[in-house]
Amino acid sequence: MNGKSDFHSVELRDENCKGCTICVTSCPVEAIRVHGGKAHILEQLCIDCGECIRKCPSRAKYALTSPSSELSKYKTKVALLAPAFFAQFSEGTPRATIKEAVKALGFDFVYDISGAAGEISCATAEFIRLNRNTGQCETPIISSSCPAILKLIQIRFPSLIDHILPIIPPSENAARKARQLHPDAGIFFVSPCPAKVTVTRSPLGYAKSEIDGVFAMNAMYLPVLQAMKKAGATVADDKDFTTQTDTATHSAHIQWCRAAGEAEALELHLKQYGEDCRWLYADGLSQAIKILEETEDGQFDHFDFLEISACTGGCLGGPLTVTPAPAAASVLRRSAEKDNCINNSLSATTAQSTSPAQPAQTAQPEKHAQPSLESLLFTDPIIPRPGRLLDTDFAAARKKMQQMEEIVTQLGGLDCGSCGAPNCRALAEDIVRKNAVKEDCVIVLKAQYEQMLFGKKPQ
Amino acid sequence: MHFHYDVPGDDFSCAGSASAEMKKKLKQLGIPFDIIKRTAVAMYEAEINMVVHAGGGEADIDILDDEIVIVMKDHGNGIPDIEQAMQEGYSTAPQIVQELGFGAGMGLPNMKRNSDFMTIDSKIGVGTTVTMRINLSPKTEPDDVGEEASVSGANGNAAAEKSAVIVHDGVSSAKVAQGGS
Repeated sequence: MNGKSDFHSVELRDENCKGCTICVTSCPVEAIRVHGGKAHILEQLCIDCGECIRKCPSRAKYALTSPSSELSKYKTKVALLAPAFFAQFSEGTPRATIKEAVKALGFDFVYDISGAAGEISCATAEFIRLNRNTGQCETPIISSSCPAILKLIQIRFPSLIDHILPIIPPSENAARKARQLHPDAGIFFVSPCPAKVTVTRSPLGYAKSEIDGVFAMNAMYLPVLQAMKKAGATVADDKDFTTQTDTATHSAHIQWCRAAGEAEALELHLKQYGEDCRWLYADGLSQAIKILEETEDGQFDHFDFLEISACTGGCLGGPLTVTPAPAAASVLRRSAEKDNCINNSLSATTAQSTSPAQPAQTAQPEKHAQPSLESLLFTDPIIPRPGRLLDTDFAAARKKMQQMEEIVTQLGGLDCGSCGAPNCRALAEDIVRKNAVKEDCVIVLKAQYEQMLFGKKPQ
Repeated sequence: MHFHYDVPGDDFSCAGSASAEMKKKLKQLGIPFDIIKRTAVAMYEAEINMVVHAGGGEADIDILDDEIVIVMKDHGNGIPDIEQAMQEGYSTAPQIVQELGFGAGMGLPNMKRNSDFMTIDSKIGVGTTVTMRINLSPKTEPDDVGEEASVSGANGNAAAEKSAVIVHDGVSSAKVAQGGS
């Protein structure tokens, strides 16, 4: 699969939509229109970022996740929990307690995917080191972990496709590991965002996802809280996919989902080889678009790695999370510190901590359990989807743009959104594409009425 | 089709907005990205030049059947010696501008490199107009021959010796040459 399909996980509840245009004007990629009093998502432009889910006052937008009945289709049920999920609960809640509560909701096995994320960091470090010689991937390399950003690149920045890190995201790595352990199980991912739901159905860079269904974090939150209250004491923990690592690496892996978490983990891995990593982190779509524009202009050619997240605060800021990203980041940080204290006392005798200054020969992080780089690489190309192209024929496109420029001067110029398009320019484009008419503009309409009623000439 | 932009002269943070706008439009037209990039870089450098040296100006872009024509016009002090200005690393940008990372003396050379054809018409005290043409058909590589920019004096010496392409207002260019020497 190459992301060609138009499957989208952000959907609209028509009966809730009041046609207010708040989503229209706040959509970062101008992918929503209100026509006939209801919002419509333009599939060719939507990147499933879920900003409209956040902004809609009528809760008319929602993420298309799996119905809970989906669970009953499988004899064995596996839940994969992103590190962000653990950060939703109050500080000090043991991860084992949370996992046990998820189990009580009907799962047989529950895994934390932070170890799988760590493997991706390790593989990324290996890839970057190789790439420094081969130049197979354009630099700066752009993280492939935020699917909304990958879609944005497909639609708006196709020239940057060759910069995308060709390695599967942590959730998919975790799902593959779960599949090996439980071949016939239903594997369910608990997601912080709709974009990650989309890639389970329509993957980017690989053919098929091992994830069978997705639940929203905010939908799981209350049931898990209730289950924790009921359960009381914790029971034996499922072994996670964590490989034997030193404390600093462990800490980086469980904080992967926060702002710059992936880049910092990567830097740590590269340092273990005695290599430097110049990275940059950007989040929120307006910042992301700016950085991608400048990357296209060659402004960041001297960088190794760009971590770009559609959500402010990284995955912790996902539209399907409950706890505000800064608070969740604090929970994670403190939980990592606590783990480090325990680990330090456990490994005091074996003393395996890897200092950044360690020479390259002895540094072999997670050599035994780490899957091969090849097994984590993309198998399918990511194709451009230039959703804003006016026409595939240059002459026709130029003619349409000419018309757009003329129409724009005749519109009100207020960018009010009353027409159902986010701004006057977008309305002009819709008119040229024959999806709207000039009279959708209230200013134009008013002028026409005045002319009709009072014989006033339009100004 | 034609586009016109005013380039404000007093604000570094605004410099580059015309080229950014153009980039969006060229993408919507489905123009190959290498051509978009060359257009954007050439325009961006010209915009920066206008802000640094000329207190702003105007950008006029025509998208024709087979080429993009970019005309960047300012009303600054003019360039006394265009040949010197075309040399890589030569800059008259004030210290403060250079400290900001601009004025490395690569502006005009970059504009030349990224266009298929470039002319500079400058008059001391009147202003400078840079015209750049970028072919839409991918036959020409950047840095190809036949894009030498130069001034020609009234006597036509420079043009004859350098097989330069560009001659504008001979008289005023001669004045330029005089002013430079």
